[in-house]
Amino acid sequence: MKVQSQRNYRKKRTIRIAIAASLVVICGWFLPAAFSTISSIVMSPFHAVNQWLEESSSLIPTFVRDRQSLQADIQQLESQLQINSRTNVTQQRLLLENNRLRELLGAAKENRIVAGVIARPDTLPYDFLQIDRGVNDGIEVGAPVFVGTDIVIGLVVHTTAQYSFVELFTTPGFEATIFLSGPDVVAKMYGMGGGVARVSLPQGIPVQIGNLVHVPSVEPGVFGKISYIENEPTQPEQYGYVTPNISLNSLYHVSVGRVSQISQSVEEIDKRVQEEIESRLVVEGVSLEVSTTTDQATTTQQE
Amino acid sequence: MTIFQAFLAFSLYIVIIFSFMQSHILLGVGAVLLYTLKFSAVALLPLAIVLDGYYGAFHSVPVFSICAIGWYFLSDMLRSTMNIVQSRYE
Repeated sequence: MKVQSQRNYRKKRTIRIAIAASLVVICGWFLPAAFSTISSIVMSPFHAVNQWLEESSSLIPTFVRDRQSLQADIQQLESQLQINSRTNVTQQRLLLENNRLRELLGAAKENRIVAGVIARPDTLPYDFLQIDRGVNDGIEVGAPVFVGTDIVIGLVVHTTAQYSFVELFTTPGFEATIFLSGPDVVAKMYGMGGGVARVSLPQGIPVQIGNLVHVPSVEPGVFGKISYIENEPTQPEQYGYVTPNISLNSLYHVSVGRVSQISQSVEEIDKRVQEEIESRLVVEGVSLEVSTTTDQATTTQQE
Repeated sequence: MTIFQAFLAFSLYIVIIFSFMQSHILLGVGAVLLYTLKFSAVALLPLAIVLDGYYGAFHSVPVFSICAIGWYFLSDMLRSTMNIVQSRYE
């Protein structure tokens, strides 16, 4: 009997407290500003400690923050890796499709000569490469030098029977007309030395870090990305600094193209810029269902 | 309540506050469970209401408060039921 009454008393007390708390919450709903003010005053010491944990450079907060930021970095990198692996597949598909279309159009495949890099900027004056192929192998002065499929890094400037020298676009004094995708403008690029080239643009053009720099006079020719922007509103020009996507020290093999790959006419360069702009509107993965339906419709009609 | 128990209660309370403020939800939930088992969930009600006020949750849905009321109700009901079974008067 005693136990039963204790149990009932407890139950009643629990219900009473729950109802009282609910009433407070309902009051808070009607007076949110007043509750926020009171809570801010009550929480002010905890708020201060929390700020210390989030912003202080002391040992413990730094340790906690570093761990959290590293975890966030890992998550971000993992998702980036997944996106990249998908992009890789897309790129491969596009490359195959491009080759197929080029074959259909009768475009001749470029003949390139693979060459090993035997001296780099740390042993040569900076922004020069020495490669182990020369005239005997078909290297011509003025031929474009590529890394990978379409990254053009410079031109052959001197060649002997056994070896050649490549002047990179980043050599001081080197000038090239480039097409900057993103703002879609044609501009001049100047070599600055130290693996860096500079693009001068008038103020007001929305240049962004990561914009691709194409060299339209070389087919195919992408040089790199804008990696830093110098923009002072008081100056008439803004500068975008370009670095190649690949570190010069990690270059082991390059491929040398033909002089014929360098366009001489303005019309040809304009055409390439136009092609680059027009290809923006291609949306991936939407034509598959339509084409299948059309095929089916055609088949049905034929039947 | 002994000094040790008071110290433990205070520490757990502080851990609950900062774990929710630092978005360590799992740690917070663990601390809430431990606090409820060792003491009672009634002390968590004002904390939840103050946290909701601090984050301005009364302008929309005071999630902490609602969860705390529900948790208090549930835990106290369970506790009273379990006490009956273990009671020496039975």
